[in-house]
Amino acid sequence: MKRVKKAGFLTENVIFLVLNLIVVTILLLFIYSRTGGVMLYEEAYAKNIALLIDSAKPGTEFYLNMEGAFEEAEDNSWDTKETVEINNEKNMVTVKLSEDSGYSYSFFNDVNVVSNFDAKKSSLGGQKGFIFAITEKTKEEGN
Amino acid sequence: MEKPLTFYWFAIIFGVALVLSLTVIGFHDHPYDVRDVEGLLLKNKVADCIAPTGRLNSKVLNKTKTGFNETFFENFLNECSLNLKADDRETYEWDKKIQYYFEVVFRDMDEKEVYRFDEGNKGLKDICLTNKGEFELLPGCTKSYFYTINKDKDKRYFVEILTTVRKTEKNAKLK
Repeated sequence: MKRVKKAGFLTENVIFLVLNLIVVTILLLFIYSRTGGVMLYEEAYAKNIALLIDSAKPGTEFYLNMEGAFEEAEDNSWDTKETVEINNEKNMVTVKLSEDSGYSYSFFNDVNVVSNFDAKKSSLGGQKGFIFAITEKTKEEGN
Repeated sequence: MEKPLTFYWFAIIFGVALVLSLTVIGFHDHPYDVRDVEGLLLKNKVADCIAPTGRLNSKVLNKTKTGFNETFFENFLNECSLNLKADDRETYEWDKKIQYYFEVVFRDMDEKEVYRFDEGNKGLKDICLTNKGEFELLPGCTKSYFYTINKDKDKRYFVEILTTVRKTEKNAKLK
């Protein structure tokens, strides 16, 4: 009788602990999924780059660490060299971390922006990212 | 006695999990609002063009310095490398409705207005004004003042710059 009681006591507590762990695990996975993710990175980096371009003057060159974004791109089998696209005609930055997604944000600074993927890591202290060079936009004849 | 306690224990855990989840959803459901920073950068760009390094741009006044150079202000966007046309990937028709506005007012030492000009979507100015026409600090609205003097030090002005950035669809959660 005592053995049955002890076994029952143990089983109840094990089940109790397992259920607690399941609830906590589900909660942590949910929070992790909402705080990370492709869409958040795309929006954050696109706006970050657009604002950096807006604040820059011709002759400026800046480096941006994008390790977090590159990890997401690699998880989605997307080429990291194609994560950032600058459209100088429309003054727009597009950050794309997968084939089906992408986020654009425009900038008002009418300059020419050249972006290059930096895999050498030397400029960023060991981190992969993009290099952006700002130059004056050549005015069309007649303007 | 233990079974009722176990039930309450799980009820509390689910309650805490629910509150945490709603908090995370509430926080991350909103886009990042960068309108304030963008408005500030636009203000800085306009100010740098009017008064680079703090001195009044020589192009602001006409050749005789009796008034303001209308040609400069008509071509202000070109002169200062500004492009207020935003055309984003999603179809918000921002290429038809300009998302920026700025207004510059020059005042003399008696704070009397001597010149005013603006660029962009004039309808956006009302976003930053209350019913009484006073400036209201809302997302995307900035107002700043600075004092400038020309190279010959004979012309002095207070410059007031008001900037407005709309781009609501990408910076605020729409209901």
